[in-house]
Amino acid sequence: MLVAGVDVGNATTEVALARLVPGREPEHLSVTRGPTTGGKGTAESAQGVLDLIERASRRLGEYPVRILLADLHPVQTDLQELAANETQDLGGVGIARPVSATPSGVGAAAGQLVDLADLVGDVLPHSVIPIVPVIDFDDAAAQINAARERGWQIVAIIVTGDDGVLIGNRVDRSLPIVDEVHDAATLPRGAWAAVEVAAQGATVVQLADPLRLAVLLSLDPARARGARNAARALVGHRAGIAVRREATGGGSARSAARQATLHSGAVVSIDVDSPPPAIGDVATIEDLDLPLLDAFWTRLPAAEDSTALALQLMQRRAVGLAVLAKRGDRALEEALAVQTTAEVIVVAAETAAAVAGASTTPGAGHAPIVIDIGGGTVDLHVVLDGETRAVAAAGAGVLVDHLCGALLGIDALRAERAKQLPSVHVETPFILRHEDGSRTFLSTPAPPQTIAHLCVTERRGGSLDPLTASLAPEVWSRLRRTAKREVIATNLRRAIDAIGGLPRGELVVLVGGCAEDAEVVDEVTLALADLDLAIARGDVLGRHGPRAAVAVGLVLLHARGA
Amino acid sequence: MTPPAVMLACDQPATMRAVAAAFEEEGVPLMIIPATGYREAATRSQLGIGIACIDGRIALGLSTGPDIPYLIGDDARMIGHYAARLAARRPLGLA
Repeated sequence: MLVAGVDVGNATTEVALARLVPGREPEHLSVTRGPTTGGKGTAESAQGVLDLIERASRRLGEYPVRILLADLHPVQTDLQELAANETQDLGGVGIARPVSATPSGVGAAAGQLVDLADLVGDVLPHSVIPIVPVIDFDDAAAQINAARERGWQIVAIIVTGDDGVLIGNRVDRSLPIVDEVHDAATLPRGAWAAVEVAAQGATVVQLADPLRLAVLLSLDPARARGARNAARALVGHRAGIAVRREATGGGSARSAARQATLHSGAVVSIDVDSPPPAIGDVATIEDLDLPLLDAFWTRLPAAEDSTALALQLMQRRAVGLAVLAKRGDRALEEALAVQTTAEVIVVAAETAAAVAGASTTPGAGHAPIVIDIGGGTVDLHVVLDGETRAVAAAGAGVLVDHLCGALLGIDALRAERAKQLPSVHVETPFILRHEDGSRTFLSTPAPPQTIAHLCVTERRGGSLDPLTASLAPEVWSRLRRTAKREVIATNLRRAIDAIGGLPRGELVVLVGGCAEDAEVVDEVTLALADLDLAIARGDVLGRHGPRAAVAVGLVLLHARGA
Repeated sequence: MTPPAVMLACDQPATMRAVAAAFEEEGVPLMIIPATGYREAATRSQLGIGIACIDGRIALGLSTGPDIPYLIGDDARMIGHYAARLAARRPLGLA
């Protein structure tokens, strides 16, 4: 009898085909894998299952008579940037933003915004900052020099195109000039503005200090405190512009975080500064009508290397949330039953199947402790002294994808690759710098769009996926590892706490897609170091690595029960 | 003693002005030399980067690797911008 053990995960679906003959060990024939279609356990996820069974069966020339499923509970994972909905009153500063890759000059100055063309008119009795449209740099410089000779007090220049240095070299090399201000046409003429350019390698000081910014923009002391949000927006940048507006205020309308109600009746905010509760403690979450088994949240990893980056990440107020819910229907089972002639059977819980699959790892024997780290959950299954304890913690690989995606500003698919693969910095067309500082010398040049970019690199093919995030590979590597630690290692700790601890010195087998990631294994090992455990990666059937433990385990459990 | 520079092999004034402007903006040294093409110019550059006009277009070449332009285009200011950023190890700004 041909059977298909099927593990529908939150990210990946795996199918293990095996032939069962009564009285004999199952003959394991194949394992196939593909992305989960639709949500885990939904009717849509049946399509992915059937495609994989079809693909595997075609090779064998035979269709399974039974489809073996685990009792599934789906996980919803999301990341919200609460600051995106916040209104930050810039406190009398209408515009505050960084500009320019190649500014000219050094220093900070304030003046009234005027058009370059205005400089042919009557000289104003105060300092001005002309805005240069897209014109030839020689013409622009000539007009500015002529205006200076006529008595205009030009204290800084804003240039629409990429001509800041060219104009500075023809006017005054010390004058702060910011360029590549592509929307300069929208800046309010007549408004009082400040421009600052820091020396090479330095960052703005005056505009990043609320009091100095307020002085530059002639804000009264009462409004100086309100300039803090504007000043914060410019921290860590080499050049910036701030424009005054006639308004008071300076407060922030902090966007409300979602509320979670615990079984104890306590209400907690799902926010960056509130720790996640213990497994099973959350009863309900605002705007979420699901029977919850667990909820977990975490913030973006802290950047310890750079104050500016740390501040930028903190200001986003990003919270990743994973929710494990009890499935209220049998949509997948029903969809499979309608679309196939095979009998559909729910064999066991996922954790029990994972244990059975993990036990096929050569040398493992009967694995007493199995940790299944998948896309949606970290599952801990412990069998000691005849007693079985199992728990699933919401939040695993997919939540790490969300954090990585938010850090790098990329979609989930690219984020998954960025999570798994090493990165490099393309220093020159022929030199790649790796996360450990080592270098690779290429014989053919890297593509132009990768130059000076952080790139995700394929281990084998060597293809480079350039990222826009301006992070050094060693910085990104630390953030990536921290994201894995804060989701997976933290969740593992929650799971261990939920079952009352683990005995010291025992064997732990790691299975699931995330266990293929050496960094995850390192983080788990580090998180459990105090327990002196023997932590090993599963190798299901001695040939599938840590993958397919649940699919193979379902076959084994069914064979034993048959 | 002259600093290492990117070499430009071109005798068209408009192209020379546009490329030179891009280099001045980026703060990268540029030298104009008589050479037969981007490869020779690149080979003579201590930075291994050369620019030349070929068939009415502007080509950026490298001193090593395949003998084909690394970048080619019609906008001299833009190719100059790419070459200068390449020499300065800054992102070229290509999508």
